[in-house]
Amino acid sequence: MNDLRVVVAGHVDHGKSTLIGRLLYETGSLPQQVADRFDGADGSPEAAAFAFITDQLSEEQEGSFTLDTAQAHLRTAERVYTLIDTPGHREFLKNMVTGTTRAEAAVLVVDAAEGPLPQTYLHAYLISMLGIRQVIVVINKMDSVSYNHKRFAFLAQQLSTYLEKTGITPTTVIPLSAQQGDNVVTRSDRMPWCRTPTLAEALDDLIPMERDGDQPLRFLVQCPFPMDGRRAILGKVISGTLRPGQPLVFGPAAFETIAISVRIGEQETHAATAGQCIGAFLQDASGVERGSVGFVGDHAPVITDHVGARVFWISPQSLGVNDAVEILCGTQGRRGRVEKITAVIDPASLETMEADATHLDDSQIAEVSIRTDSPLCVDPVEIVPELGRFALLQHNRITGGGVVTGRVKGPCVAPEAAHALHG
Amino acid sequence: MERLEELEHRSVYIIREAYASFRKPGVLWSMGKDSTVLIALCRKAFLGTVPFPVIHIDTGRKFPAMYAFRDRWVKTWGLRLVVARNRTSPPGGGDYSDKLACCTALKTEALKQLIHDRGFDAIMLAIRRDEHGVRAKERHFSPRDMSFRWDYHDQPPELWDLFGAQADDNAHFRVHPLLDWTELDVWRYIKQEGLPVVDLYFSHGGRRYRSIGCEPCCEPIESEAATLDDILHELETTRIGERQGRAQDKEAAHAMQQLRALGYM
Repeated sequence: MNDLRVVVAGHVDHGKSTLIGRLLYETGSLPQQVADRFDGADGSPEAAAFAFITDQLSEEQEGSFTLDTAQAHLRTAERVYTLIDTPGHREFLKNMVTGTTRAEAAVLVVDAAEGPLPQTYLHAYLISMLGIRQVIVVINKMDSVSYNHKRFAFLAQQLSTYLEKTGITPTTVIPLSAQQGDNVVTRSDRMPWCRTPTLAEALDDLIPMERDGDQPLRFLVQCPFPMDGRRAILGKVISGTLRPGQPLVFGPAAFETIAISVRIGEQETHAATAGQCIGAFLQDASGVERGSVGFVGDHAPVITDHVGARVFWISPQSLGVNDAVEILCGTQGRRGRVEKITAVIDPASLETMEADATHLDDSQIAEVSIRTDSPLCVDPVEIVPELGRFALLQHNRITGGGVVTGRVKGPCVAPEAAHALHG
Repeated sequence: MERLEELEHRSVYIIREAYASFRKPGVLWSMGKDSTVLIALCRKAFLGTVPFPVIHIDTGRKFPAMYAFRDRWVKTWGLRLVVARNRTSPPGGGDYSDKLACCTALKTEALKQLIHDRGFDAIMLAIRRDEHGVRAKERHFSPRDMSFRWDYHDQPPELWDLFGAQADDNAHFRVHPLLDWTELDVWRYIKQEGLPVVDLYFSHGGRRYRSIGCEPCCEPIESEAATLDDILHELETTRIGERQGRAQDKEAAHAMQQLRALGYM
């Protein structure tokens, strides 16, 4: 069975790292000499230091907080998980987002006594915005509310209602205590009212994301490469299938040619599929360069210099209207400007905090429109994720990111693709 | 896509991004299993060739079998080998008792001199997150300043497969294509691809090396694993950590963090 990458998110101090430590310890996923350190005198583990398993930096251990994202491997009878720990402090949101963009599913951790707090909402909103659809909610520290059923039921209702509004139906909501070990791997007898699976069981119920093989071909060019006196085109098939003999169009310049042969390493292949990095030899490679996107003529991406998007900003310097940004979409890099910040969104209420704003601050989310200095290829994020999402850069550093939302204007070579985006 | 295939293609993608984004990339090869997989992935990325120098940081204290392995496969694969040694300290560093100082002098300092002399702006290396808790914090593209420091307090974001790493006059990047791989993935890939490994990894007289580096600082483990299948079986069942036999990891709490902040691999 395939492995699964799961991000653990939530407000600071709600117990994310401790929960990961408990999962690793109880499933026997830790190396023996690490596990031995937690064995307490009475046979039950010393849970207080579980967070140190992923919080390995001395600053993290001294300060009892997570600074940067880390990953650990969890083994159950079903499969291997990559658990992605993330920091809950607002100022480390860039590290949280870095971890979350690698995940296929999420565990949202909420403190039973405190309930959802600002980073709970912000993280949940980002999880939804980044396209993660499988979310397990855990109400942690149930020991601190005397394993009270009413408190759990209230929070479960509150969080489910909120998540539904962001487009997520939680897989399950689990009452547990990472510190005490209730319902993490071992079913607790302290909550006889509880009908949910344990967290380990709920993880095993998740479904790995599969790429749909029927999508239109997109061949993302990384670089031309001189090979045996020819110009090989190195790149990745991000969607669909590329076969030798296939007529191709490379956007945004609409350069037409034919794929003569396709190689993976030194081997010729008769069909390169989504996810594979290949070398293609073309009849004419002169019009193809880094950032070109290969496709089949009647299934073109949208080619535009004007994108509408939902973005998150993760830089201490705010982003103002008319500010210059670099946009990186796949291997396409473009200089651009923020034309309009249509709406700054409040992740807790999901309402517009400020319409037609002048700037976007660190950790804020907004609807914006961006104009680029030359056209680029984009697709709806649900059809070709790699061409429906992008990073924003300033001074050679990623300072934000986002997803194309569909309000795309500008020159367009493919009405049917534009229709998909508008629709 | 199966796990190994997904890891392979993602690593190839990262290697090519480094090649396309930097003026002068290079790849570190220690002749260990991980960096041998990295060399194989580089060859896969560029259709059978490695279009940049392959760097061996030679402490002068590697196992003889590692030097023999290096010379054989450099020839077979047509690699452009660059050997880097610390010019200023004597081979062996004189004193092995201070592991931190020895690793810093013989590895970090040698790499620093090489980067300075040859102007490398991106160095690919085969570290993995599961080797050590501090390496678990790394990025795929990790900037180092002029003095080689790793600013783990403020690492740049990476979003999906967008790294945004660019050559900069003042620094170099460490590129980590194997960050997502586990020890087991590495061995499975070695088996799948039929890659060569140094014989020290296989059991002789009930002992084998699980991790190899400098001879004075590596201890073999008790093991009967004499074939690739034996090693895979052993790793699937063991709960002993991989770097158990590596002295520099055990010096003191946070020794790895200190080493890495100073520019260690």
